Amino acid sequence: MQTISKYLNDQKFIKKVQYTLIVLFILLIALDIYLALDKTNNNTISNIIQNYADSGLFVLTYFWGALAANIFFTRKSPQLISPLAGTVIVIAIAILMILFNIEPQLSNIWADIKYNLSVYSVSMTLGLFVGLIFWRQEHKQPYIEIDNHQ
Amino acid sequence: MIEIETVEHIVIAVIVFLILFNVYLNYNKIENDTINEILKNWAYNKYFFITFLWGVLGGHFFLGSPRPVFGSNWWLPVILVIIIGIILIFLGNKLERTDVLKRRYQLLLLISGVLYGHFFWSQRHIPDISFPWMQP
Repeated sequence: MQTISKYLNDQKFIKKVQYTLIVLFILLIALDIYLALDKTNNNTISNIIQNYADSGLFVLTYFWGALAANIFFTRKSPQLISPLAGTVIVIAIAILMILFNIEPQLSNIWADIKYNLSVYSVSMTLGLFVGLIFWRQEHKQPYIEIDNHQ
Repeated sequence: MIEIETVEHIVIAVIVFLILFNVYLNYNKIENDTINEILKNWAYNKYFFITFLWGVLGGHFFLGSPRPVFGSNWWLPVILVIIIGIILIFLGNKLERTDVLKRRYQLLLLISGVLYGHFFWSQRHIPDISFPWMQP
């Protein structure tokens, strides 16, 4: 009984977090639509995210990949390292990319190749693989067993 | 009228809030309540449209073929992505709360989202694409 009451209590809290996320997401979309229609040009959230990437935040695309691996590709095998260590590795690689100023160097190489594919495909793929190796979540859904017993 | 800098501050504030909130959620007493876990549980159950959307946004912001498939009809991919999203939500609603999707479907959703963003709806198709309401 202890576990079930804790479970129900947890579920209430998780519901609140879920609503927070949904409300935040809807507010951002509403703001973006407003910004698209107002008189100041190029001030939408979309424009700003794009400007960040253009002005050197190569890491933003890297995190796109890492988060995709973390959220959408779960792990069934035993875990390689603890989630905290995984997070530290993912962030450490991002910091290294900033310190060594990877983006301009890679952009130069990429400009010679000319695949008509943006250079950010490299960092997105890199993030995805780093995430797949170090930063995946477990496949099982925690609440299912209790749900089935109710 | 909202200036670009203000929007930048809003975006940064939201990201910082999400990170701090997530750290708190990770270390509080309640289990399985971090944003990553919630999104994972959503994406593997009824709301797998999130996976597709994440792919679309990746392709939309960061990739992009030189020319969009629909040409200058910039509104067409926007309408289409909304329709696809509604269809995915509708399909997802047919799942039971205890269903867990297979990972290969997540891969399929993410890749098709990225391809959609790359070929149909990207910010990088034409550098100075102009919208009707931006004409001088």
